[in-house]
Amino acid sequence: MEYLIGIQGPDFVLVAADNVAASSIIQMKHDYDKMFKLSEKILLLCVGEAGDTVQFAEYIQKNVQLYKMRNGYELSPAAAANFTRKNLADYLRSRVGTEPLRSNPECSMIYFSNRDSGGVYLPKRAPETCREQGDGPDQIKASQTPYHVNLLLAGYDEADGPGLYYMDYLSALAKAPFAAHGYGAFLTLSILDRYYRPDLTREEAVDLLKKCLEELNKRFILNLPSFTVRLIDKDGIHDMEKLPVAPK
Amino acid sequence: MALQDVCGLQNPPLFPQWSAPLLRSFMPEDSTHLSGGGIHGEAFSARLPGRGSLSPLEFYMPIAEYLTKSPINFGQSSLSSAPTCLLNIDHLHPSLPSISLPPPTPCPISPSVPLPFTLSHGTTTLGFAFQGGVIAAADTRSSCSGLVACPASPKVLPIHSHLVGTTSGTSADCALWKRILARELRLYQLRHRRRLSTGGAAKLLSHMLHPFKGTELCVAATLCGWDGDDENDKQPITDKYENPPTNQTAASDSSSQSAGTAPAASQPLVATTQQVVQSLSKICGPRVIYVCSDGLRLKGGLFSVGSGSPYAYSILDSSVYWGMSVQEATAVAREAVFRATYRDAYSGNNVDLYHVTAKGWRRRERENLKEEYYREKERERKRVAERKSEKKDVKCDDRDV
Repeated sequence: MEYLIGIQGPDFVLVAADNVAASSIIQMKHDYDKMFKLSEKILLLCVGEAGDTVQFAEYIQKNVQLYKMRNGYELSPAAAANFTRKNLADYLRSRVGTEPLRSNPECSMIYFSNRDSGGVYLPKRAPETCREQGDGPDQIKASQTPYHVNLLLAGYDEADGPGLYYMDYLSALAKAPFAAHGYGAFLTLSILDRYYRPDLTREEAVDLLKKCLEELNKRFILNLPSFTVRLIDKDGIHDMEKLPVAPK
Repeated sequence: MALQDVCGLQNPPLFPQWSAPLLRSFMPEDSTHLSGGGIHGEAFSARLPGRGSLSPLEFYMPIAEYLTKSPINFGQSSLSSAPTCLLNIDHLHPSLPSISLPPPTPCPISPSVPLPFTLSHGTTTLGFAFQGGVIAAADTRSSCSGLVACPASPKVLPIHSHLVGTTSGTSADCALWKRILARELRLYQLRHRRRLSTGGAAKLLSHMLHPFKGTELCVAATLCGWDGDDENDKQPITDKYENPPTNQTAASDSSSQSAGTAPAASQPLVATTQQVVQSLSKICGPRVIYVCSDGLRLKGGLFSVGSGSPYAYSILDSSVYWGMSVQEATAVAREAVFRATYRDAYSGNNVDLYHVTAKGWRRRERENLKEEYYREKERERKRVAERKSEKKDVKCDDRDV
């Protein structure tokens, strides 16, 4: 349903995401932004289960900003990617009762109080397995609270240059020259394989992106009318014009 | 009183007492405690006659006061067990039927035919913003497993003076969470001396519902509100609307108090008076935000939720535009709900309509859509007759010439 794509060039990363927020068969929003700005030069693109995306992405976003506040400098894209992966992996097999990292057991309170525990706030979730009748979310014995999100993390580092990191819901992390998520990825990865070169210019990258989106429009069963496109380079994040691919 | 009190209960959450701490031993059968709660309960229902936020979408329990105010008099017994009906305060216990009755998801009408999508929200609600504020409209049918449990349940619940929420999903959940949200917004207002914005309220609700993701809790609400400190609306409202705070005895005492405190709080925060701008302004103006218990939170200009929403969307998408007048907006909202109730089995009966402006919300008289249906048929008949007579006239003219 949702689609993310990223293309890394020699000194930039181009990312695009579709703009549809859907609920069952209805498009509830046509201009939904799936990109989260982690820092001046890092973008997190997040798709997946309805509430998990925003919840997890905002959590990562706030923690990256917290790191900057505490330490005075920003996380590099590689560090941010690994931090994200670690969190996703921790939640994958987390058990209520053994909280991952340094969590606040009363975290359901964090929305109402102004305490700062000094640790990393983790939103507690109701586990996915069936519960005994009448138990609240606190009393579950063994269960998991994974976040079902697929991510692309794109950033520019002063030292390392541009980086694009592919992460899936099982918290597999891979640094890749180009990547895509969603059903549309099946249709577009071979186009990327065919035409990608490590020394793409910005215009060529946008053309490659357009090729991918045209293919999606032609063959993908769902209507994805518009895409948000952004480019990250040494000067930061630049919004590019939305790509409306006209239906043929 | 924190969320943990509610979360920690053995049973599905009951209404938290505003004044007394919530005890773990608060069991529905404990009538002695209920007497204290009864006073509160009556007071609560006295504050909200006809609003009946406690009457469920899925399960119906009669409230004596509510029955007399309802436009449709019906004497059907509730689906819960008989003894609890006798208690005037059994509306405090939406949990009782939830134990005895099947889970909230209604079964399909014909199980052999696969549904294109799960009909889990048996309702039609909608909300949209335009230059004159926000319109929130909903039908009034509460269904439970293919049976109309209540034909006159209100699905648009005021939260505070400038915010209403449409409810979809499990009625008990919606009523409870709306109430919790109202409490938290009021606390925020008392602590920070300003009203929390609609976006903030939506985020708060979304985060409060997040721990329950994966459980059977089902709340899909559209928060329709007006952000901003400007109490003086630049545009006069020209329609005949009922005045909410006096007639309907609005959401809680907080609404009247907030109207008093908000102007005082507005002065230090906003130097200039806010104008009603032509588009969704960043600072103040109408807001429509969709919040779902599965975590989705969408800010936009137009939302419709429920099993009847596709039908409503098709009417709204073509007719709603920013510059429409209040009469137009009301008419479009009414028609959208009407068309949805016509086609959707789980929506029907009446339509409730609320209009939120900088001055607060106003409630339109509840309208029975059966009348609308017959009026529509009459109009069609007249139109057909007119066209026939026109054609005859034309033919006559031709013959004369």
